[in-house]
Amino acid sequence: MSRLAARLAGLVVFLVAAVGLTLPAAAQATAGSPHAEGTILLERSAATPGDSFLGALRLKMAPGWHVYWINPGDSGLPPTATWASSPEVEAGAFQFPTPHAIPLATLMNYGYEGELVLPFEVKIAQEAAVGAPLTIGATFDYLICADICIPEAVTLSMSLPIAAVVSSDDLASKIIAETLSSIPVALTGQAVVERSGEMFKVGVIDDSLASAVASAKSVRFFPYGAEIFHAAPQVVRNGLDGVSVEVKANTMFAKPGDNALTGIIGIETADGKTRGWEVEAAPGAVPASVATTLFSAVASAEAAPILPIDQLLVALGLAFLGGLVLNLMPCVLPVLTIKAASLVHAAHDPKELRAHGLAYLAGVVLCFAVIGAILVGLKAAGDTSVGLGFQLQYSWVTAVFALVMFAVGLNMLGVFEMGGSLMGVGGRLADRGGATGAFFTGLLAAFVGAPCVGPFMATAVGAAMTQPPPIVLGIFIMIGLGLAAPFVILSFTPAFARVLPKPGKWMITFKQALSFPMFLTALWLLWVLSAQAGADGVIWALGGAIALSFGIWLATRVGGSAAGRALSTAVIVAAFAVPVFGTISPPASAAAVVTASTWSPERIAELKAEGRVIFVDFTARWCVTCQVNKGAMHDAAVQQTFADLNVAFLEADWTNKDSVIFEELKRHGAGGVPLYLVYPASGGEPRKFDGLLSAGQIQQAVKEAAGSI
Amino acid sequence: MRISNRERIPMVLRALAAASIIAAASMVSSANASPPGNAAPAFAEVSTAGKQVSLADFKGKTIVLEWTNNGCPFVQKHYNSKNMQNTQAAAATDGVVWLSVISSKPGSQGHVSAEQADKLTADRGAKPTHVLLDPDGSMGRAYGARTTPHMYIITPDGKVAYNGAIDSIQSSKVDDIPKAKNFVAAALANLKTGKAPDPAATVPYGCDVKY
Repeated sequence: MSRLAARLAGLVVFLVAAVGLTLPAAAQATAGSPHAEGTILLERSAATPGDSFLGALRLKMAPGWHVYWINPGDSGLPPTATWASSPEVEAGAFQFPTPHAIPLATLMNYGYEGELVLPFEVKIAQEAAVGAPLTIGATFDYLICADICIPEAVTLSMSLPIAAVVSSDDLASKIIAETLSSIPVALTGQAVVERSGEMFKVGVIDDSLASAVASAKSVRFFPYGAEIFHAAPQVVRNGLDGVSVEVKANTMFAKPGDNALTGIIGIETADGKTRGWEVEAAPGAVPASVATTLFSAVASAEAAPILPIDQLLVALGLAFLGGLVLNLMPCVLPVLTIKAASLVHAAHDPKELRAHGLAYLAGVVLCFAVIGAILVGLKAAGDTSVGLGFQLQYSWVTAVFALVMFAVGLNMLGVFEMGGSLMGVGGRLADRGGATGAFFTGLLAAFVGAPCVGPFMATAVGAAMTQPPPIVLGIFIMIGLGLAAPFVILSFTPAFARVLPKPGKWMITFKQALSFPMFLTALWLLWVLSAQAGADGVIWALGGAIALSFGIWLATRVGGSAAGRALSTAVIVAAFAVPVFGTISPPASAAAVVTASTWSPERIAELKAEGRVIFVDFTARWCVTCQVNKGAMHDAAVQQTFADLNVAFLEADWTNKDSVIFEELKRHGAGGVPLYLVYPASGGEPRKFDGLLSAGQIQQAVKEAAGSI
Repeated sequence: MRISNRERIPMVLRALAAASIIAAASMVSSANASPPGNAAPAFAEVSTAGKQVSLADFKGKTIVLEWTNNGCPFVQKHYNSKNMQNTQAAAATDGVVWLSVISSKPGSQGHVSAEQADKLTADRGAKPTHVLLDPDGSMGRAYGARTTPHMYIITPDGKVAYNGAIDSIQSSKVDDIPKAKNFVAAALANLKTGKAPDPAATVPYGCDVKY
């Protein structure tokens, strides 16, 4: 909500509060602050001497604003009361309801939005005189926050008649009773906690909790203290006997050996209310009976209602339609040209055509089923951030597919033939190769097509994702059927073959022309890759493409022998491994804590004057040894040593001609790169290194230079 | 010859799919805390004077980091009462480097230009050595800064010595300041006499940092 809207809403709350004041008061007193309206509620409209009952502060907050639990999380403060009541009135501490988790950027708060009812106990002294009304009042301070935080306060006061018999305020009693269901209850069972390094695993054995969790929307451990990272994801499991929560320890407050944990297990029920169980977890083994299933899987299957049959049929129909239209989407169209080529090729033989159609269908449907199954699996594993097209979010998958597209393009261009046909082996094998090809085409079309489904039929798939796994799979299979339908129908239409020109040389030209959409698809994937893995990733993929071409060429030359086949196959597999390796290992600079700055003789003079250890890397892009040595320099231990010893890390890049660098190289007796200089902190001439460096050597050298060895 | 990558690729795909599940499952968000005793994370941020200021610049000196946001009531509590300025002035007398850090993202509360920040410093009579502008929140996240104010003390050898609140009473009320223990002043006094701060880690309180 925008800030303006929030302010307007605050104004409305205030006006409502103002009007409320003019109404005849029941047993309550109300006042407004800029973003909330506060009211005192009492269970009694008249109390007796010695009576004890519940009162509450009710805060109605402007939309988008929240106040805090007793432990506010990463920031914030809980509400407080400064009492100003008659001496005969004693009010107890707030009983905080189970809070909600309120995430804020990378931080996490625990608190309440909308309306909060904070009960407290009220005791009337025996000395109170019947007939003399008492005052209950306080100033309630609360920090209220949206994107900004404001300390606000209301001062409330009300008169409580003292009578011979109690009379209750039914409305106030009802409101207080409702909030009592959200106040954390004591465990009837027991709680244990296992600490393993940076993780706590809390296990709670309790029957009422076990049954409540089964229908809960969310489950969370809220600590009373600071022992955990509030914003870290919590892994919740449950079982017949209770629930377990794994959560990351904040080692600043949870020292090694601090193995107990206190807080509450809070759940959110389907209607948005909260319930809590107080947990005092002592060190102990978490029993398996509280951790049999991942919680989110249970919740998604049980919390979301299964679609009624008519809506389910509509969803399935929409999915089919979505798949059908997918054939026209720009990301699938190029792949379909492969299919078109094979269709034309097989059109003269109705039997072969039908076999191709079915194999293609199997490929498409299998791929969508697998994607659906992986999504279901990831969701069950607690990853709610996955959607359609997730497969291309992994840079190495993108790289591999760029290579596949490239290979398919080469094949269509006629650089090599698939299967056994080139070998001139019998027709049956060729047929099989063709059907395999059709199957593979289907897989490919589905794989690259799936990212396009997202925007196109997001609502249908979105609804599907809240459904049990079989329905999710059904939806995905329907998309696959829709995608495959046009070609399958064509394959089973004998009339189709008759409208095509007779097989001939034109087919080869046609097929070759269709290779260019393949290359364009590869280009598109490389473009995606460039955004995921940068220029280096693209270079790795292009390197893979060259290796792949080499393997294919090798196969066409020496593929006749078993050894030749083995060799070419090894090269092709290696070709795919190249970009996978290159893009999956994170860029070295990401881990670097001390990045190199540019070398110059002046900079050296300055740093020497400061008495710092200096490490200079004379390098060039085209120097392979230099790149290998970069790995040693970016080693985490080396970087830490650099940081610890305040080493100045300079780089002289000789990729392009540079006379100043060349003079320096010559001065140190080196004709080229790599050259590494380590200047001691005590001044004087640097130590020289060339050739291959190890991380240990670098650490040793800088430590010696710092005089710390 | 027989190029069999058509047959092999579905298998490769399956392997990729399996690997992708593992990769996704291992993606958990990391959280920083910079507990006392750890090496202080390196930083290099632009000061209001337009200069790059980095941790390495102050080797051999005690550094105080103060996360701040002039719109935050908790920051106002400590500036309106002069508590923060007095703590800064006392630190400066002892040669302690004081860096006020603004990690509010553009458009959020507390995000200011260099000129506005300098004016705030002048108007409030504040005495930081530098005010650092960290609008992308990189420095704040590296240190795990949660609130404004959130205070850190770094020893001359680059270790975190104190991490936490400015003082011991978590409130937004100026009246509480005289009753509270000023953790930063106490930690600096301890460090001056060669003792470790006690406490060295407290829970900071205030507004959330506007990342």
